[in-house]
Amino acid sequence: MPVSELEQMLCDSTAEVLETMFFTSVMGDAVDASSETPWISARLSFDGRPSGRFGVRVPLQSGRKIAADFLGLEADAVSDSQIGEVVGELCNMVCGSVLSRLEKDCRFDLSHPEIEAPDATAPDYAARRLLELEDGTLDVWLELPKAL
Amino acid sequence: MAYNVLIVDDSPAMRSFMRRVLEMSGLTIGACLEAGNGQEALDRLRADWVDIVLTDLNMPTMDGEQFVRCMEADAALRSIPVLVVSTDRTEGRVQQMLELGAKGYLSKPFLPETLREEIEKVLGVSNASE
Amino acid sequence: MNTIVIGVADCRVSRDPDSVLVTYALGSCIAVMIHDPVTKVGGLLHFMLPESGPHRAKAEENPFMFADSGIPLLFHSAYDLGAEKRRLVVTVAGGAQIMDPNGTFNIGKRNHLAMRKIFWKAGVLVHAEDVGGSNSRTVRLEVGTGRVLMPGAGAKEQDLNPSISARKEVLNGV
Repeated sequence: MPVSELEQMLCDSTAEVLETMFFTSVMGDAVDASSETPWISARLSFDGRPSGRFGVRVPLQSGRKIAADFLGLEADAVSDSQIGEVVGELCNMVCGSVLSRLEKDCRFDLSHPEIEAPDATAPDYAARRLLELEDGTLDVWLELPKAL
Repeated sequence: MAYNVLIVDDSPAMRSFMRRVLEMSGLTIGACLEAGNGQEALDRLRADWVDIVLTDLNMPTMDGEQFVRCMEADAALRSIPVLVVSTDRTEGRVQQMLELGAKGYLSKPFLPETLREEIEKVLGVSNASE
Repeated sequence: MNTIVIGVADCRVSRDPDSVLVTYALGSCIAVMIHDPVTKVGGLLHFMLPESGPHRAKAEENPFMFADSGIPLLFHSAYDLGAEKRRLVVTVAGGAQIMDPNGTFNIGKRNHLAMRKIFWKAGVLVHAEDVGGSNSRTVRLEVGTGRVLMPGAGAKEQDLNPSISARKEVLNGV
């Protein structure tokens, strides 16, 4: 499958999840987010046909707004641990949506998302999209066996 | 009537989201209990009666499928209706869980209103504010 | 029957059981209709844009133009007439994907998302909605009965309450 197709799935699934439960939307591709630090990342592994890894990372400020939107709170009422929990659940749901687009009838087992260090980066060889949101950016990536 | 609910999901954020929907639903909620996996959920159910269980599938220690099997195998628990809420939206999985005894299946992501509708369907109440 | 027409960026509440609140030509705009079935208080807001932040001066002049300034005013006006939040039946229509003056199609979706975010933060669930698509809508709320009526296919009117309808149209970009 062409990487561009995988990358479109990443975008469509992110939009689906954000619009449904986070009440925000994807505006398009982000140009450059290198100046936004620190980031908060979540990654998980999945078993199925195929198996692989998946992750999202957002600048901490975007993560705070995303968490506030999901929990129905004001941004300054959100704790750091809540940000991690929400970003983890975002990772879980976007991954589930991507996998259902990739293989409609195949069952996957997803690991519990792990929240990572602020400077964790995506693997170089993954399908990846850097997306612009209404309130920041989101980096989403998918790692699959090279034979796919 | 006040309904007691058990929410089973390894994500604290998702449990908060579902709890919030219950609070907004117009249903009178008595106790809203939470568990992070199927084993914790079984322990809760053996201590407290609930009117409905909302459960994820992918969870550590004991997953949702095993949890529902255990509920069905227990005469004291099998009458409690279960709504599965999962990222897995494959038709095979939905069928499997309904055949195992779940009364409803909702895939993530979901609208708050859809969760409310599904809960009301499983409980057998009408969609009207009280 | 007393027909009260609500225009673009406007809002009215009533507890006159003979009144009907109506708004026309909902393109990308959204009509939020609320009704308390006990005190028979009804309200209708027709808003155009999601956020007042970039348009402070306009919002001060007319808060009903924006979701974030208009929706709280709608609800509080209804409370002033005796409505109670926990009893309010909320119905929504509009948010079509129609080209706006900037040449984009997404203002209807953005209006809908902004409204849903406001409702979620405020602890409000929608009872029924007819949103998205590409057609303009006309909708009316009967204050005496709480019925929300909209011309449907073949010009036959449909009652939007109590079920949620056509929800996925917006998310699928129809």
